[in-house]
Amino acid sequence: MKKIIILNWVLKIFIALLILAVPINEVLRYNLSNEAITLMYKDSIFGNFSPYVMFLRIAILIFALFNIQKGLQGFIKEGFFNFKSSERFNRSGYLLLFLSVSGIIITLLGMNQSQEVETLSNIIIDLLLLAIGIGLLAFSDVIKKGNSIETENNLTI
Amino acid sequence: MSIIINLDIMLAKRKMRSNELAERMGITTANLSILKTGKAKAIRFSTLELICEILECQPGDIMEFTKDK
Repeated sequence: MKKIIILNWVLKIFIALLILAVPINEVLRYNLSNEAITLMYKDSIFGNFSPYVMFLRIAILIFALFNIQKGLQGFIKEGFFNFKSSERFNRSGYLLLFLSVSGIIITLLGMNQSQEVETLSNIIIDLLLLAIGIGLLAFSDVIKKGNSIETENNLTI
Repeated sequence: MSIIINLDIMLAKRKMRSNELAERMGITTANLSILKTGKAKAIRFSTLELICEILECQPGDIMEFTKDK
């Protein structure tokens, strides 16, 4: 349980940092001239809309991490096999799946404009995210099954 | 449910209260209530043995099978 408490706090800090990163990035971008912004995103497939797409992806990531954190909190409050945590992990799994698949599509679409090394590293990160998403879905199923076994065990007299 | 628990009937026949049975079995009254109301998913042989020993009856006296309609 100690490790879960630590992970819960690490996730809380990470979510807070991500939430802080969005306005900081926006302030930094606001100080740039229009030419600089255009130059910065000229290689991107979304052009000047790139930061907004990035914000959307970060928002999805924050929501997924928030769900994982709430799932862990459920472990701490209600024990390992509880329905709420299972639902939270299931939701975050689907969000990470969406994030990784959309990331792979975006990377593949912009393959011509970016360097090969960058494309490869982006795809590797997205595949890792995909594995984590599928892992969370499997984990959610394990918790759900554990919950039904625990209930049956409690109702065995 | 196909298996009906007739523990209440046996308790009445032996003129014993649920609390007393639970106490002699060493289980909580809440757990005995789960068993009596048919909410239990399973019953251990050791529990069944204890009930039969205390109530001086056979497993068939406290459990009955009925076909679902």
